[in-house]
Amino acid sequence: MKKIFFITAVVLFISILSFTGCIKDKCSNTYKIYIPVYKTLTQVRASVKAEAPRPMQKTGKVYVYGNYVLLNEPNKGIHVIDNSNPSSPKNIKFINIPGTNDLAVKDGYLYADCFGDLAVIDIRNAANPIKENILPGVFPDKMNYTNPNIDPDSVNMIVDYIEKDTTVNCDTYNTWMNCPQCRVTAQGGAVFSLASSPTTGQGGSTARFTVVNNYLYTVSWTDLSSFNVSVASNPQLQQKQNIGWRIETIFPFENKLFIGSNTGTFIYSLSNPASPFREGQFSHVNSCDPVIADGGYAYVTLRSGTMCNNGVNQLQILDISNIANPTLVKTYSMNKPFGLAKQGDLLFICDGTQGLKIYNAADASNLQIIKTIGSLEPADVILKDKIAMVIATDGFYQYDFSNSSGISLLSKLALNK
Amino acid sequence: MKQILLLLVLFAGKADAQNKFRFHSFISVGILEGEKATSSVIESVNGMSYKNWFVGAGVSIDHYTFRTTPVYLQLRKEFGKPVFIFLSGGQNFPWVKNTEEQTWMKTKFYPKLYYEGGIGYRWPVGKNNSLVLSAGYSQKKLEEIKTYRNGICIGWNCQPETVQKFEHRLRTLVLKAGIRF
Repeated sequence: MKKIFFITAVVLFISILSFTGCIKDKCSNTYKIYIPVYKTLTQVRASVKAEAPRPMQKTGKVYVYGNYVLLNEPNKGIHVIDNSNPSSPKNIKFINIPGTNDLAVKDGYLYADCFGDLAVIDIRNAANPIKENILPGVFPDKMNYTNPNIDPDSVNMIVDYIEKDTTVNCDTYNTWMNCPQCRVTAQGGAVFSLASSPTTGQGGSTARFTVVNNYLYTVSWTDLSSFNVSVASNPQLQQKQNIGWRIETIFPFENKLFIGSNTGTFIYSLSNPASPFREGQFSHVNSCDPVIADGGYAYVTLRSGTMCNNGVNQLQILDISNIANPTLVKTYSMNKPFGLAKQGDLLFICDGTQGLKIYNAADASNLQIIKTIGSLEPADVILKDKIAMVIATDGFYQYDFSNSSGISLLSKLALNK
Repeated sequence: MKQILLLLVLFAGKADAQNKFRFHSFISVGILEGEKATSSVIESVNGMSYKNWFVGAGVSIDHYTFRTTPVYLQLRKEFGKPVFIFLSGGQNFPWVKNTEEQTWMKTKFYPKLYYEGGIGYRWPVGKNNSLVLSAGYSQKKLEEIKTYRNGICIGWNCQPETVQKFEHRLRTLVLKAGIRF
């Protein structure tokens, strides 16, 4: 019997081996491909205008100006929100600005990037914004052409993407590369924000535009630019200086600019506002790096990720009493921190999927957590009049923190509503 | 759980007394021969036989390409005493190694359909036990979702994530040897 069992087993085994060539695995790969929609630069510039309000589809940077909140929808435009009643904000207008990610306001004039251009919008009547001016080619790192004086009819810009579901064999996945301008991800935007000077408006810690007195300062990947906006409707580029690489954020405080980069925090003096110069710096490991300052301390969140050269996730508090030589006071471990803001002793930190964390920061070397609001994934926060305005992946939240132990949600502007 | 086991034992005993229903367990190990590799499988099927039919519930550990645990129902039909055919169908649950989340990418697997069919031979050993040899064809499906964080950047702005969905259909010829008791 054993012999029969063994012979049968061998016969079956040989039979199986002889058929294996017929057996093929299959693997399909499903993803979204985004096919670009082009407009000429002339058409792009002509399309900068106010339109009827529309629902937010993606969250971007946020800026507070008087009773208005300006919400950037990355690469699309800016939603104008009437926030006279923070419990019931009203979406009143949309300003179409293709290729925009950053903004700031002075004396009723909104400055926003429009690909490589700077768009100036008159929002003195926020219910009826009017395009005032376009400064062409002032942000070269956002242009796909090198000559700022090029014939604008000869340049095509990607203003949108058409979404298409695609399924291919796993082995042929990279066929989308045949469409060099196509993308294989959700088109729209991430969630970063912008800044401003307290006299003009207020932005977040992840801002890349800010206004201080009569100057608009912007940072690109490598440069710090200063624009004279003493005539608010007519900015004049004064200076562009190379200040490093992977520059991320700019935050104004006491006649200084705190600039966050992948490699460290730079402090620039505005004693000559047209030409800021570096007064001090503090280096850290490669990480994404929003920074704010308050009194004698600077608060720096370091975040890991591909964009951030991996890096670490932590809050660093720097003693800036000696601007020329900031020193590390203490490091706190974080989950994945983005923007942050401070008012009085309260420090708000947007800590990725762990939510919004509120600390008592009376003692910088001994932060005490007061509350964690874990129901949102925040990107940046602005504190104004005891209201925390939080931009998150799923919308714009406002919290009343007049009673720090009982922080309460006032309102939420959700996406697609 | 204890109650179910007790019922099963009582039912098996009663069935045995009536000489119609019998409770059986199959434990087998096998070789999987597929396009990518030769791999192994271990399975346990437990159920009831009635005349020439057997219905049972089974679970396997299948190592072909991705380690998975198919959970299925199995139907067997014997022709004469020794030869039988079988068909199994159910869900293929992932039990994949090395899927820890990375900074830039995470992978998750999700269950999909599993089936197997084949022919076998059974040699009675003693009063109630048998040696079993079978050959067949199996297909297990598995869904793999890869999420890449910070997939696309425009200047400083990065898209939150890129998602790719892979559907794997893994086909093998199967040779199994085991015991029935």
